[in-house]
Amino acid sequence: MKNLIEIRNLSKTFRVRRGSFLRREISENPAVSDISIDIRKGEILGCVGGSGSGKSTLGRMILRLIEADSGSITYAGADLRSFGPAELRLHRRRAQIVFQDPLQSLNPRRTVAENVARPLLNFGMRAEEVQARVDEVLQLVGLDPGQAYRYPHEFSGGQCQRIAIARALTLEPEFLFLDEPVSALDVSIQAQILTLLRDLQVKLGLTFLFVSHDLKIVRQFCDRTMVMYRGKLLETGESDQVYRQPLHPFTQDFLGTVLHLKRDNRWEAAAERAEDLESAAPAMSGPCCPYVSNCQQRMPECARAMPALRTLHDQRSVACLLYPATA
Amino acid sequence: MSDVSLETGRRKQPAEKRRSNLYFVWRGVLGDPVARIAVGIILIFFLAAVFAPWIAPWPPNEADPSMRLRPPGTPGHWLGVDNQGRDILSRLIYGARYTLLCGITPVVLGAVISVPLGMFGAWYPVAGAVIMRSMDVLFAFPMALLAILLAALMGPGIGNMMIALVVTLIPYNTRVVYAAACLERDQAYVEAARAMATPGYKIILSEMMPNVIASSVVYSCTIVGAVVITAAGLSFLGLGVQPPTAEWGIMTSEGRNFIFNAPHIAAVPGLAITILVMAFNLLGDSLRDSLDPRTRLMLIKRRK
Ligand SMILES: Nc1ncnc2c1ncn2[C@@H]1O[C@H](COP(=O)(O)OP(=O)(O)OP(=O)(O)O)[C@@H](O)[C@H]1O
Ligand code: SF4
Ligand SMILES: [Mg+2]
Repeated sequence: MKNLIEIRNLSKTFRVRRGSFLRREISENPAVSDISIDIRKGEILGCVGGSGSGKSTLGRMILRLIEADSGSITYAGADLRSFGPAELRLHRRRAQIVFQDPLQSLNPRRTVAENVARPLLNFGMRAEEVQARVDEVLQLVGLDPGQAYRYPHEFSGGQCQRIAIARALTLEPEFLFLDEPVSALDVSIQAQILTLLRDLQVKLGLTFLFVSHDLKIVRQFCDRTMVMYRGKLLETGESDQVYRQPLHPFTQDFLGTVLHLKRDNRWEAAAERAEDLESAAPAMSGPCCPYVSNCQQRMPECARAMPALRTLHDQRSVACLLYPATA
Repeated sequence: MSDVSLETGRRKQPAEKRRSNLYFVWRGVLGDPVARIAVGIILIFFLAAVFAPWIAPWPPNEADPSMRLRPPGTPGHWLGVDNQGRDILSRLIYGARYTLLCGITPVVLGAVISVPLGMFGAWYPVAGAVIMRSMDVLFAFPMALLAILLAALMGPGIGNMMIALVVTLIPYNTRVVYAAACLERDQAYVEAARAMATPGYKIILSEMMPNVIASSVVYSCTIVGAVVITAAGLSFLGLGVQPPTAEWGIMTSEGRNFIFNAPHIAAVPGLAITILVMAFNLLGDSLRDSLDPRTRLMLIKRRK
């Protein structure tokens, strides 16, 4: 499969400033650091990780909603970060986003039809064509176009997410960044939305970057999975393999808490730890493994340098000193 | 949140499709009995102001010294007569013109200036810092004091008074708009708009504006009361509307010398101001609900 997106050494640090006129710099928050990954055309790449691990930031950089600090993103062979306004406008047609809270992502004072028609109007489509296209995408996501004159809050969460998906699809994109698209929905609705997304993906030949907290969903839904922790990419591989045999100690702990892989008393301990894996132990200063303060298998050399992402057998990569590269 | 299932929705007449946003606002307001009364009161005051020459029983400044200080209920002078022998009802009706003018014009002008200022500030952080710090400087003065200061600097007169009131109002309204716009700016729908290549000015004008303006309208309604009172105060100090013009603030202040032997001279216009202020406050409350599509739906449903 060809790569649609190639990300190399991508980093983004948020600088939180306070003070008004003097604009003193207060703190630096490395949301994404030195991530390299390929997204293949037509695949669903899952992205898991704790809260604040940089998943949303990564996706938004691919959409140029956030500008990266360094590194490169190659989208279909073109350097995304050097796009001018005109190229960026075209990029907006190819790459779209679906948010976690469906109601919040729709303008509450615009009807469903107006919300869905907005992107088409931005690209200068004529009014009568817009109407037809809005009806078409609403039908595509399983909604009755006759209800499009209603306001978003008149619909349930699942229906709103369908509307948001419809809006993302109006411009016929090839790539969707799904930022926890089902996290805010009831379990029964989650399955419906996931089925819809899967159908659309096959029907329209889409490529997804799918972020979720729910590891079970990622396992079922995604072809490949990437595991993030504190802005770093720790592990990638085919979803099945990552779940059947997690390599990185963080992934093992993380999966252990969610999938109940470990039924002995270690599970309790892991669950407690995973609750604040992201925040508990302070990140050590200087280059080191990001997980070193929680890792139970740490070695002295782990605190000396950040382990590079190494490619192992069958397309698996892991950033941990326990796994020397085989290639 | 309410859930309209597709099945129940289909039974609705398609006529509902064409209804505009304003229609629903209107229905939301009328669905609220308190707001209906408030709208009624404001409407009565407006009609009184517009048709004053036709409905007022006497000219506002015609004095009949023989009738001085007559209490309400006197035949021909149902709300009584003031210290100069002028009919209070007639003065009240004519006074509605100035009171409404001085109460509403500065609020509208203030909003017209504040809404772009606040939204611009929320969208461009540097401009926002500059704008909001300048507002803070204006905030340092109490509202009444600033109005007095400006009106005194510019000299007496109704035009100058209104300019003073507008300047006094801008920091309040701008802060409300700025806060609302900052909230909207961080909503996912604004980011979604960016992701679908909506130009910045369109995001401000067509996506954020309808959401932000609602809070400014609500705030403006509640501030009308304070403005009417401040305008009355300025007139009382001789900085606004000049006597013998009939204006509720002047009427109240002129009655103060007779508060013990003829309390109605001050009480009647004072009561009128109170009712007007209350009506605007209640309308503001109701608008808050009906301007918001989320609560509006509940209001309309409750009425069915
Ligand atoms: N606009 C911003 N300004 C400053 N800091 C930010 C901003 N956006 C994100 N961050 C910080 O960057 C880090 C990564 O945030 P991000 O939203 O990418 O995490 P996430 O993996 O999506 O988390 P979640 O699962 O909670 O959505 C967090 O520490 C967050 O506080
Ligand atoms: S590099 Fe060392 S500390 Fe980091 S996860 Fe691997 S073993 Fe643990
Ligand atoms: Mg996120």
